[in-house]
Amino acid sequence: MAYANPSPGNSNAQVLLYLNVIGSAAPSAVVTGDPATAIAMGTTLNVPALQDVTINAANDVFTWSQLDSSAKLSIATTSTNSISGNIVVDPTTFFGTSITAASTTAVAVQGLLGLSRNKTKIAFALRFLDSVPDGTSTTTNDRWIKGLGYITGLAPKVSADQPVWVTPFTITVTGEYLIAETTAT
Amino acid sequence: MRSTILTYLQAQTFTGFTVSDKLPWEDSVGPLYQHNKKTIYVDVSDTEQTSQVDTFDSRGFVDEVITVRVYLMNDAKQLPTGYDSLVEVVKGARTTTGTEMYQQRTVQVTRAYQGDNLLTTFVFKFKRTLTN
Repeated sequence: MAYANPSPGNSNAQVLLYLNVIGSAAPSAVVTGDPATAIAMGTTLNVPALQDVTINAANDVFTWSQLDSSAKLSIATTSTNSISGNIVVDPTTFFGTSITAASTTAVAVQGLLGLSRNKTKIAFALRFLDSVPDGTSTTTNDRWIKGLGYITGLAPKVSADQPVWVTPFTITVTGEYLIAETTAT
Repeated sequence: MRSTILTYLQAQTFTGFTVSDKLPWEDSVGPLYQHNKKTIYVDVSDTEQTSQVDTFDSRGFVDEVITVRVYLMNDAKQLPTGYDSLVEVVKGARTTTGTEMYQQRTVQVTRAYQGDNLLTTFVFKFKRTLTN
């Protein structure tokens, strides 16, 4: 048995979160199918300084009772998916390269705050596991969790005791998660 | 940081007290301030770094605390004239020029009797945040 160990500090193995816009902005992520059946991330924004990440996949369940059963019955309905975490604010990736960027511009131009303000629909890819966490992986058998969604929940905070901006973030997912071995498929 | 505090103290006028630029080293009898009473000694600084926020890509930040100790010994049988005002002036070193980049500057003053001597110790702490 091998445990998934993201090896903080090892750029070849650590948890990575890539973002890209979809649609008309170039270079954008290429999404196949509706709902998405494949996502090619393209040139992405690598979210830096991740403190922690939580993948939420909450299935709703409909429950009912019948007179001929002494136990309740249930059936899974739809799931509410989101990815949340905390980052230390990096000015370039937070504000983007243009403070007036529109939702149709590239992801690095908008930055995290721009994606939130513009309500830009994004594709994301989260590296959950590097198959060979020593930096020699050839990407096969890696595990990426992908999907589409929106940046929400930004709440930058700073204090005299902690004079560096940190912020939570949430990717509110629309549709299902996709599991892939690379960022290209 | 030792030099910053030393520079501040050397610029002050203390009646009956002097400021030494030597370290409070010890011989077989005791530390230097025990030999030379009513002389202020500034020790070299200690530095401690503790993690504040860690990130996966090593771009978090740490808190750094620099500690400087200042010693003064005098005869305990009778408190020297000007002792109280001297303590107040020495405490002012925490906000002297050169400490502005520290977000927290504190000083603790403690006193202890050693035989017929009174040892006054000033512990200055300067805290700042360093990004990786």
